Amino acid sequence: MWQLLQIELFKIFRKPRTYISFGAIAAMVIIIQIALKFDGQSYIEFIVGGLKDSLDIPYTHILNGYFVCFIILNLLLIHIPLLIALVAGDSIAGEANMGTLRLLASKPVSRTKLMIAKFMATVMYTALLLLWLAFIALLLSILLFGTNDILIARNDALEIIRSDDVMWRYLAAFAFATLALTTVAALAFLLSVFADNSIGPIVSTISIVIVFTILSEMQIPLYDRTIKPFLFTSHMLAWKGFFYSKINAGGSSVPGTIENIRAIGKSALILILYIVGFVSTAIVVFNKKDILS
Amino acid sequence: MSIVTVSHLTKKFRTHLAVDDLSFTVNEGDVYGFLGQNGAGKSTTIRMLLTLVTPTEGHIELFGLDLKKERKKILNQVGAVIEKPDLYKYLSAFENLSLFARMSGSNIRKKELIAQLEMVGLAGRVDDKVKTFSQGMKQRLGIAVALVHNPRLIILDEPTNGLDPQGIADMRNLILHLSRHQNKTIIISSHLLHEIEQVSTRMLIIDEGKKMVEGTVASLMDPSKTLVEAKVNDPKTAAILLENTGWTKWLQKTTDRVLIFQLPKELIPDLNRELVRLNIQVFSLQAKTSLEAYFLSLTRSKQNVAAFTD
Repeated sequence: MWQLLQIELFKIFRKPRTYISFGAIAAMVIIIQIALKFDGQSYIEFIVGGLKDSLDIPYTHILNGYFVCFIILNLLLIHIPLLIALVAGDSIAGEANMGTLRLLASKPVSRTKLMIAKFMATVMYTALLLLWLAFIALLLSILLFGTNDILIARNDALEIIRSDDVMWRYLAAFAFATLALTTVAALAFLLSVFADNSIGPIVSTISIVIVFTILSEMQIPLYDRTIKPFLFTSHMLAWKGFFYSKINAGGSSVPGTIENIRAIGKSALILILYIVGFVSTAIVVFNKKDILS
Repeated sequence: MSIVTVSHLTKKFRTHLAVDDLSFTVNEGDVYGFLGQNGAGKSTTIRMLLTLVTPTEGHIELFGLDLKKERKKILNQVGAVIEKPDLYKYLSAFENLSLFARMSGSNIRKKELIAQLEMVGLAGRVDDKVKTFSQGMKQRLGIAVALVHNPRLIILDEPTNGLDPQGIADMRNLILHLSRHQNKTIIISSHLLHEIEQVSTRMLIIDEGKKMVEGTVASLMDPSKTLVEAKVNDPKTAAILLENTGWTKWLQKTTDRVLIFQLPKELIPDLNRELVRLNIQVFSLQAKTSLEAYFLSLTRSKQNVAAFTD
């Protein structure tokens, strides 16, 4: 299995297309960092809204590396599924399109192992993409803006998390984001089994993510109870929960705490169920598939 | 010893019957020609031998093992080029070969892989990306991939497709070399009879998924069963005139335009002399082996078949 995984990783990282995602993320992060470097105050004013008139806001303290990274994650994590679909949607359909699938499937390797190796390679690609995002969004922002306490805007309040209480939250958030994006990868992987051309699964994955995201964001009470709790897109942004700490009687956040760890756990479980469902279905379908490409 | 035993193999794609109750055997050391028109069911059968397509019915044994139960053991001993040799275009020849060698479970050293590429004539292109290769070079790399794990059985599906005449000759020489000097068993499919007859020891012709003819090439190409189509001025009168000679025993059929004989090849000049002696005007004598005639009847359009046999 390790050898198969090595082969799949080798193929992914020798393909020029793979690096589009890394380049795109770097470009987007740097664009946001430049914008905040030159006009961060306007963005903070936008976040605090009417409070800016009643509070003396220390803009230079708020605009630090941790805060900038949080903004970047908010802006980008919703779009990264598109980049994940590029590779995951190509995993089987791309081989069928190139004509290499028949050669692979006629080798003395079980189709189940082949599929698991391919999916594992996609997960590693996803994790590396997130690691790359963490590197440039967090470390580069810290280098450019320094560190300080982080201001988090919640629905009804502003919360300040101390700088020495932030790093573990980022690690947890990136780990959760990897899980969320792995769900998208699993969906693209499943759709890839049905196609002989990677465009189909890539476009289908993106369409499904967009439709589900719209449904997740709709404020319709009937859907709140019936559909939304079961959509994977409703749970993909649960990483934000790591930045919501418990509030003490004095109204300050309690370091080292998470307000609703159960909700994050539940979201993680639902995403894992989706991943298992998508990948198992992909393996079953692929095992029965006649390879005619 | 039988290397491949196929029994009552059938494949149905929804309503289309691609392979219909096909049975055949390939023995060790055979170069087994698998002949049929495009769409006759050759590729589907080969894909079933390689577990790419699941049979609807029937049973396949390779090396005496059940393909369903012993897939991995069997495929370890099989190398194949299926239709076009599509490989990873963004990787070099060496990287492609190394990758598929590892997938076949072989831990072959770099030196041996390079030797393999040299054997198929790609010595100078080892590190070049496959996207820069011609069709012939890709075909040769495909052969190297098929041979890299030293398989006992090699399956080549239409291996000369897209090759120039030199490439076709090279491929033929390679097949003969593998068979004679490395004792490989080879299954080679083609829609071209002359391609198969030049390299095969045994052959099978299929049409619409069904077995038509199977046997050794020597028996199927038997010169004592040469079909001769004689175009003469008045075939019916000629047939009557021939009745008093010994030639009627060779006469198979008389039509409005031709006489068809089946006879040993060496008698053709005598037949010509006899027709001339009987004052029959001979426009042409066209000889074909029975297999060639049969195969042509499959591959020609219906109109042409009628023209030949009526």
